[in-house]
Amino acid sequence: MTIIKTFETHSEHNFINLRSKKFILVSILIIFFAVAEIWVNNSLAKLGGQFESTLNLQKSLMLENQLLENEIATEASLQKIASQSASLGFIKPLKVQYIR
Amino acid sequence: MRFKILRFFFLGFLATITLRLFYWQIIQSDKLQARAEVQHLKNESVLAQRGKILFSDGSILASNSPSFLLFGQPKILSAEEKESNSTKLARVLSKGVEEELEIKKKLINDFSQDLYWVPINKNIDINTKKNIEALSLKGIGFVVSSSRFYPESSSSAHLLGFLGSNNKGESTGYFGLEGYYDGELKGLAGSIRLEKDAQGLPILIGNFLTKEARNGKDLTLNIDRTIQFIIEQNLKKGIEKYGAKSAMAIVMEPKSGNILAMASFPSYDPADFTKYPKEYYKNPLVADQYEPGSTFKVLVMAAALNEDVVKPDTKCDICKGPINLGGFTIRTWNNQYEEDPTMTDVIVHSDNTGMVFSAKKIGLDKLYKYIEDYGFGSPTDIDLQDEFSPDLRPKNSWREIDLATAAFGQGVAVTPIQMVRAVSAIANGGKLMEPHVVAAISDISSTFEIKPKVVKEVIRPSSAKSITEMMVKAVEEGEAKWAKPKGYKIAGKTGTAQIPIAGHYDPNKTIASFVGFAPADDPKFVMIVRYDEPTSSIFGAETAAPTFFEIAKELFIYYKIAPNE
Repeated sequence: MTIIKTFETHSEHNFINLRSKKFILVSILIIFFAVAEIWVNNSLAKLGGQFESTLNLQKSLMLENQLLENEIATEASLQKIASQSASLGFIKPLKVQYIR
Repeated sequence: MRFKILRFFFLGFLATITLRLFYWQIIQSDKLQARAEVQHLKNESVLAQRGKILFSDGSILASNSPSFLLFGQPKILSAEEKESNSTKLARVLSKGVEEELEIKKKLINDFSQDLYWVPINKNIDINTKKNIEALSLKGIGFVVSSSRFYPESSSSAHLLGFLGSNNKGESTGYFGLEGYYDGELKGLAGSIRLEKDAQGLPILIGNFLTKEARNGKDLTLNIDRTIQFIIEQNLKKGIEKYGAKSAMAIVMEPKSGNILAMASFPSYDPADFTKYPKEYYKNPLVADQYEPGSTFKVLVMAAALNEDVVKPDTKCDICKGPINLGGFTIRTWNNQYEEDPTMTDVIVHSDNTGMVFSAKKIGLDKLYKYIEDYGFGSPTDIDLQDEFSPDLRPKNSWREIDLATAAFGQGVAVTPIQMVRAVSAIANGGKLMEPHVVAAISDISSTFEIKPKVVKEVIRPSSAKSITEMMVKAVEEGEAKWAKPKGYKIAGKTGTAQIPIAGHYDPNKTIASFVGFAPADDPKFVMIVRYDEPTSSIFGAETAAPTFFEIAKELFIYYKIAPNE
């Protein structure tokens, strides 16, 4: 009986090796991105609360800003200035002297 | 056999599941989908801020203030809680004991309704909201809204108009600037749609749809707040001093047509307009017609000068006494007559017979055309919602007497804005301008400026100069000379018009006015002051003219104009 043993050529062996390496690499990448996505989603889901509180803070700051702006406008109104100046004893000039 | 029974049982079970699934997935799908969306989607509308209205220096005339709608949820409250909420809320919302009882009654009524949600009170300010929140009441809440805020309180009410609600309950501007520019001011509401988790917090990786709210545009006015304040103070004083029914004034820049100030009394508070009679809402300066009386004489005389039918020194040869015309007798206001007065004398002494003389020289066709060219009989196109223009009677219905009376301002109806604009054409070398209250409309990215617009040249510059000199002399030597500020050249004319009632003129009720401009050589402002039915004196020279000069004195200081005489 003759036993014939066939041997893979060197190039064929290298090709299979490379293919399995690629397969492993791609699998690792897929697993990595899948884990990363889960991690990001998880983290973002937690940020919802933070986002909500930031939005509320923005709203309350805008509200406060509007109230302060209105307060300034009231304090700077001519009605207010006139009554304040009158209470402090200021009066309109009775006569204006022009120097030429 | 057993196998068959088992198989039948399984098939029946499968059919039941299939039918149930069909029911949920097909028949009830829309309803369930909607319920799911409500549970995990949040829809929020974002209010657009109404645009601000600013004085020419950028200070605020009308802005917005956050306000809140207080609501109650009667279905989740017990009878005791309803009673307790009503008592506590009434204490916070009321200003006195009587009002407290009234409010409590209303609240008990609100809470007794068989509803999930009832509005309790609109326009609650931030401080009241804080006070209510401090009570930690069950079954009440707030919805954010916005109300108009006026730092100068009721100033410029007629100019502004007010913000009310239309028949759909939406905020809408009425009268004045709020009405005219409602489209620009109101903006466009936006919305947010996002997914939420079980705790109601947004899921950032979910669907997130936003439609940005577009805020309303801001209006920057030509109104100078100092001049506005000056005229308001003087009119308030004047209406009391002269016991008038109403008082009003407009200050206009003749070269541009810009309205620098506009005020009238009695007025109202735009923040609380419902507490005032509806008759107060209309701006009489643009909507109220009257017979201008002698102030109209300067316009007729300017037309006569422009037509070269008279000169300032032309003598009137029909002015020795009353003029009889078509069965009517035309007299001077004091029934005193001069021998051959010049046209300048006619204006200085406000001589009706001299005006008949000049009107006859012009003739009906030409005078009618001048009246139209000055802008009477058609709107001035001022940017205020309430403008109304009285019609001119058709030319073919005018008789000889109508031409004669029109020469001294009787039988012609005008509005104060038409009158001040026509006189401003004299101050502007004959050019009639379109009056503008708003200088610019701006949003976050752009600004649209409203440029001065010349409507037409009504008279030649030389005619404008001649009539100006006559008006200066009328101030220097006329009935109101005692009130004139010394050292300044002011051109003006008084007017005392009787009020037509049921086919005749009321002898005791007048409309007293003064229209003029200063400094006459290089006018910075044209102004009209009008009092309706003054009681201390019926004459314009003793009521409107002094107020005009008081305001002018303050304006000279404000504009830093030194006397030059």
